[in-house]
Amino acid sequence: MIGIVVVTHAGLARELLHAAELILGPTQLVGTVSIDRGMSVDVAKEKLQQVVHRVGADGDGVLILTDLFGGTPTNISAEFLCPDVVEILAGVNLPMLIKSIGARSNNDLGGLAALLKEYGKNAIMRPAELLGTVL
Amino acid sequence: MNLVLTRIDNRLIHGQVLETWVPFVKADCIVVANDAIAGNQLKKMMMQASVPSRMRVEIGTVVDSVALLKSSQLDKCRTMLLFGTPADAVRAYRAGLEYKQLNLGNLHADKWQAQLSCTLFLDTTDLADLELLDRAGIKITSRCIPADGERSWRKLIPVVKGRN
Repeated sequence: MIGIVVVTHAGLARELLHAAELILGPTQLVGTVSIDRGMSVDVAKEKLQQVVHRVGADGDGVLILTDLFGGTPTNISAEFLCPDVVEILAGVNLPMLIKSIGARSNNDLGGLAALLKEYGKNAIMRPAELLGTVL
Repeated sequence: MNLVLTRIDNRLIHGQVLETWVPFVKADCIVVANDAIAGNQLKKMMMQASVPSRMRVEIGTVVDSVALLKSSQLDKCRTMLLFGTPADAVRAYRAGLEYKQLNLGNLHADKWQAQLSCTLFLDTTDLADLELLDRAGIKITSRCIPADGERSWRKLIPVVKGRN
């Protein structure tokens, strides 16, 4: 199974997974890394290394979901980028995380990353548009 | 050259810089003076891609960045200059770059000796480098994000580590 790691500023990663598990129930091979203000880049990299190693135990690759392109969590994750082994998607949202957990068994790593990139964007909805009140 | 912020931040361009400092100082150009990033194509491309397209980004070695800043090419820009370490700020100063203020953002020395704030951990080399710049008349202040208070680095009482 493809492993998933959510890497964010502050406790967002932990809480996103908490929310996903509230909907899906307990998950396997999903890890989180929360990067706090006082944490050094080296310590953050080490933590990420450990979690990538743990969730990648099956050898099917690891998808890293980060919060903000250009932010430290993404910049640190970039050091692990390795096509077919470790992929990164920046701009994680809850629909994307939930989908990643469900869709990983039917896709290879590159396919999963490509699918989630579109899925995460399409999951952003403006209800007023559905009502036809905004043209 | 119009430097609206000169900052030491070992994360260089990252969330705090893009989301708070750029609008705060109304920068329209970022110069990253860092030898390691200048020589790493992936990191360089990612850093460039993270900056809004309306902004100019120049990522180069310390030497190349100083040369660029001293030329007239960026004269019309409101430039933010980022160093990764105090040592690079000293190298730029010695290469003839004139700057009057230096903001300290994030610094995490491996074997730090003095902690100035929750994001500033300095070793003896860092302290000596800042001392040199301070004596050269550069106003050095600690301020991680604009919402933090600006404090002179001299007035911060360092927490000195007992070991290392």
